[in-house]
Amino acid sequence: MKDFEKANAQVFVVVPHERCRTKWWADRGNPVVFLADPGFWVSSLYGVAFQMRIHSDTSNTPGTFVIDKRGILRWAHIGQGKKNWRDRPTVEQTLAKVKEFSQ
Amino acid sequence: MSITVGRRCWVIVALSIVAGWGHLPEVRGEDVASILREFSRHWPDDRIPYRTAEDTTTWKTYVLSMKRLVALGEAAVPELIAGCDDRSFQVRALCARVLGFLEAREAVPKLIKLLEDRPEVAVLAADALGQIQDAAGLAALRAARRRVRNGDVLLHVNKALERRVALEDDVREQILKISADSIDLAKLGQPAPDFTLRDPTGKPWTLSRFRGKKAVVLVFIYGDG
Repeated sequence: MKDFEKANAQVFVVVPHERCRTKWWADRGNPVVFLADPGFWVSSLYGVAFQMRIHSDTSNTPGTFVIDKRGILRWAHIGQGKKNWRDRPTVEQTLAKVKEFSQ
Repeated sequence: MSITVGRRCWVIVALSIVAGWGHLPEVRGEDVASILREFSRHWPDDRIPYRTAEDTTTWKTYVLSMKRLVALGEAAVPELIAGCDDRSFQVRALCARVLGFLEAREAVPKLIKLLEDRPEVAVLAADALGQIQDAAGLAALRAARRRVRNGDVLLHVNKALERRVALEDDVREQILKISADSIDLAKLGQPAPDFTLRDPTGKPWTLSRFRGKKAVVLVFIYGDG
C-alpha cells in the first residue's frame, strides 16, 4: 500500500455487502479503504455486477479500474470465464498502470 | 352526485399516474409476474452466470429485474412470496433476495422454508432473514446452524446471525438509483462515473473529491467475508 501512496494513488475495495459485513475485512488490519455496495449500485455502474457464481451466490466478477488524477478512467480489467474469480491483475501490474498514467 | 364522484375519481387516477411516472418511469406498467417472467427468460436454471467475451450484457437483466422489484415496494411482497414456490431456482433465489431488501416480515415463514432449498436459494434466504431480524427467523437460523451441512449455506447462516442489525438504511435508496441508463457507464478515456459509498465506520467517500488531487484505484471483489 505504501507503493500506492508514493504514487499518489488512493485504493478503494468495493464489496457487495452491507457495512456490517464489510467490517469483517477492515477489522483484520487491511490498510485499504473498504466501501460497502450492498445494492450493487456502483458495481452495476462499473459493469461488474452479477457475473460470477461464488459460494452458491451470484455476485461481482473481479474488476480493477485505474482512474487518473484528472478523473479519467484510463485502464480496466474485468474478470472473464469460468475461473473469473482468479482473473485479476497482480498488485505489481496495477501499480505499474497507476505510474504509467501518472506521467 | 355520482357524476361529481366519478370526476373526482378520474382526477385522482390521473394524478396518481402522473406522480408514478415522475418517480419511477422505467417501472411504469410492470408487475411482479411480468418482471419475473422476463428475468426467467434471460436466467434459465442452466445459465452459468460467468462473464464471457460473447456475453457481457445478460447480467443487466438481473440487476434491472432486482431494481424493478424493489421499486414496486410492499405491494410486490405477496407475489414475491408466491414466487418463492416457482419451479425455477433462479426465480426463487431472486425473490428471496428482494424480500430481504424489502424487509418483508410476512415473508419470514416462507424464507424459513427456503433454508431447506438448494444452496443457491438457501444462501439468499439466510441473508434475507438476517436483514429482516424477526425473532422467528433468527430462531430458524440458529436451528439451521446446528443442522446445515453445506458450507456455503452455513457461511451465510453464520453471517446472518452475526450481523445483529436489520437492513442498513441506505441500501434501498442505492438500489433505486439503478436504471437502464445508469449501468455499465465506465468507459476508457471518459470521466469515471461518480459515486458516494460508505466505509465500515459509516464515513462517506466520494470519487470526484479526488479529482485534481490523486489517482484512484477501484478494486471490485465478489465478497464472502
